[in-house]
Amino acid sequence: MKRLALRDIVLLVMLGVVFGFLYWALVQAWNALAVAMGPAGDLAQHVLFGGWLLVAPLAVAIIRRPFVGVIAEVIASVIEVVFLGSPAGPTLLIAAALQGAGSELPFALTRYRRYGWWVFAISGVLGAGLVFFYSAFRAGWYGQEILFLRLGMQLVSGLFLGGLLAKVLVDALRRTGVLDEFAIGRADAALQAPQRVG
Amino acid sequence: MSAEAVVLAEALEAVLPSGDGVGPVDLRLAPGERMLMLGPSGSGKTTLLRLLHGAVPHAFRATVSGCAELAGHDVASATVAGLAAHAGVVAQDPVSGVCLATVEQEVAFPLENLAVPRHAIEPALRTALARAGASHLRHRGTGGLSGGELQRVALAAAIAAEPAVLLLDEPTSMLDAAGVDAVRAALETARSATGAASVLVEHRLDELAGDGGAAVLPEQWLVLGPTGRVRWQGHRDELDVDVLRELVGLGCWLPAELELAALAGRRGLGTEAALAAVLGETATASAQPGVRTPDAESAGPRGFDAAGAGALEPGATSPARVGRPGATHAHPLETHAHEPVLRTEGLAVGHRRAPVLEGVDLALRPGEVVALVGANGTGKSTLLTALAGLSRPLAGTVCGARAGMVFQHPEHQFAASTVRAELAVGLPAELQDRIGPMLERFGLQRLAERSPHRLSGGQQRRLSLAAMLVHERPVLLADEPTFGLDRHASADALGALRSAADAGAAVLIACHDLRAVAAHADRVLVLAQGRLLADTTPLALLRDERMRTAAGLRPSRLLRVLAARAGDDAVLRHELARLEAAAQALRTPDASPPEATAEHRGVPAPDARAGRAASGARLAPDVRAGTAA
Repeated sequence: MKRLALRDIVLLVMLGVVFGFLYWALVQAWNALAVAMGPAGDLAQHVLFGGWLLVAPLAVAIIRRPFVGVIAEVIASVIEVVFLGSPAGPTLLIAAALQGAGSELPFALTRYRRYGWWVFAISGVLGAGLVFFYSAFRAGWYGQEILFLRLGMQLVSGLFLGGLLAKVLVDALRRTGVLDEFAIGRADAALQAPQRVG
Repeated sequence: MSAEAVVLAEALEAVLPSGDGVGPVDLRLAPGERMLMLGPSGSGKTTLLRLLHGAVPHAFRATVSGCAELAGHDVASATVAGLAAHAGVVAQDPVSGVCLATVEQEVAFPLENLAVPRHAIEPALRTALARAGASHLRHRGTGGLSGGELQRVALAAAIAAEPAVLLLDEPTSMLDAAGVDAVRAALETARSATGAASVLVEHRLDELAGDGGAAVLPEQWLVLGPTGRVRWQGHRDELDVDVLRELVGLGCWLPAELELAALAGRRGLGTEAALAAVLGETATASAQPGVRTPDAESAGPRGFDAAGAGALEPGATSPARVGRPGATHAHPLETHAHEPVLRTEGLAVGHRRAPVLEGVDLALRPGEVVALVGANGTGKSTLLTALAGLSRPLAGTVCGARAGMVFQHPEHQFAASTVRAELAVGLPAELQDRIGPMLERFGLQRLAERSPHRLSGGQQRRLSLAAMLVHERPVLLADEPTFGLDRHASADALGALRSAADAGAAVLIACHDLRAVAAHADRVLVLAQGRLLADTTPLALLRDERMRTAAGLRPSRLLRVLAARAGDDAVLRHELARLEAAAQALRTPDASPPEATAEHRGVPAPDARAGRAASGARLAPDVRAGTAA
């Protein structure tokens, strides 16, 4: 397998760091929402869950190479835990790897060739779903009556915030032209061979 | 392949995804040989440099054919690390090349990357900083440097490891006189001390040549046409007048003697004689009736330019392409009596708590173009942002109308995702109908739905000007509006600002280019020693050597000759306008690609301008915060 190009590595780290900070900000929003939701506060995390999935589909769609989603998600979690002090603690790294793996899986199944709405949708659902079983085990949700309510909320959040929103962001970024020199931009241009003008 | 050539290209050609291309080019530079690359904006100079150091196609996608070798390494198959030891690169935009937090680290970085022994780094660092004229910046943070200061640091980093090849992309674009001297000396030292070959892309040739003239410039010249094809290649002494005229026509700046040769139509005249030939006398014009054409006639007072030059193609002087009539240059004194639209009192600006400038009292009045000059790092940009209300002054006040501003880097102010939407930002709904005409005026219609970030440098500059002018604010601030533009594009940008002033705006331009200052400014504000040193006129500044030195400015020889001839500012401005008109007359629309043709539309025809000024396009007194905010 060809190694990642330097610019891909730089982008990967940049995405990881930026989203590490955004994820940390989302933790603050989660705390606020939990307070606002009163007795149902424990469900706030499921409402926002998809937000913590975003970087993986973004990285995969731009760089289009195996494992970049998992790596980006783990970098983001390192930033959260090591530099910003997330209340989730170091086990967040395990959760992040599971989230990244879930999010990346649908893209891997298309052999990193298809980036339509459906693939992003499934990516969001799997990213939220795969890690749920680990979280449920860690937090002792098994046996609760609301286990499936939790799962359902998390999957819906993953679908919208972690899947479809990622597609919207990728398309917006692509339009600016900053991705022209990455795999995503090259895929656009591969359709037409450049014909010299003049 | 020959072992002696450190830069070698054979039938090297690249086609970018946009369809723009450069080459095919054949090059051969031995150690110590220097090459200058010229061409209009968008002709592929930067792409060709990138082909030589491998950024194209390794980092920027392109279809490349032919071959390039750098210090004996095939560029196509080498890695970045493999070439880094042999090439020192200064990129066009110094900001994009900076990696580390302090100047010291930044310059030491290439040495560390090449595993230079620890004890050798300190002396190499010191030498590089000294050669680039950046020793005083050593302990500064890279984040707080001005554009010109960063450019010196980039040069220091490029020469630190004494590479076999220097590849420099407009290394003087933001530098003051001392900085330009440093670039000239660094090129010379690199050659004499280490035998480095160099390839230089540069617009400011007259400044870089300095008093030594063209003889100081690199001996090999490569001229690219608008479509990236090689138009001329050879030793600079072999340049004949036709090539020089074509260069001026393409929008390239030339050292004074070559520019005058091009405009006068022959080489070998002295500066005075050539000037006389170009500027001519009215008598000369009537003595050569055969040269006058109906077109030239209809251009009114401009006809003499064609006649005076004696050899211009008759059809070339169409009224639409000549510069402003000299008459409108004579600035009506009454406007100076106008109340200032922007005024500062005891203004101090700076970063954090450290003031860069203190006690600045200035006033801008409607209808005037004021130039802001000063050495690199004296606070020109900082002052402009304070005047625009974008940064809080440390002390003192700014009163007056809300200003529109064009940043040094147009990208820094783009807020929308299409060109059309960029013009609409902050524009009230009832004024949206201004957008269409503005797009047309700046030749942007074809690009209206493109992302501002996907435009070329020249196109971005036009967009940022259009986005500022569309608000018709009473005060306009422009930070190096000609940075990175070729001659024609610069003339268009400055012309647009001048016509905004004629329509009643107060315009303040931060600028290093003394020729542009002398040609366009009514007044000059000189920043030095942490304060506003003088409020004077261009001619007075040109004649006051002490003040010029304090401001880090040095007029070119041509400007000195003109200043000595001129009785007052109006005469100086008039003569510069005539030189510019003669250069504009050489513009070759046929040879330009569609894009360059659109560029011509950036400046409205003189009559259109006159009409605009006469109708006194009204300034909206209270336009909402726009692109500047």
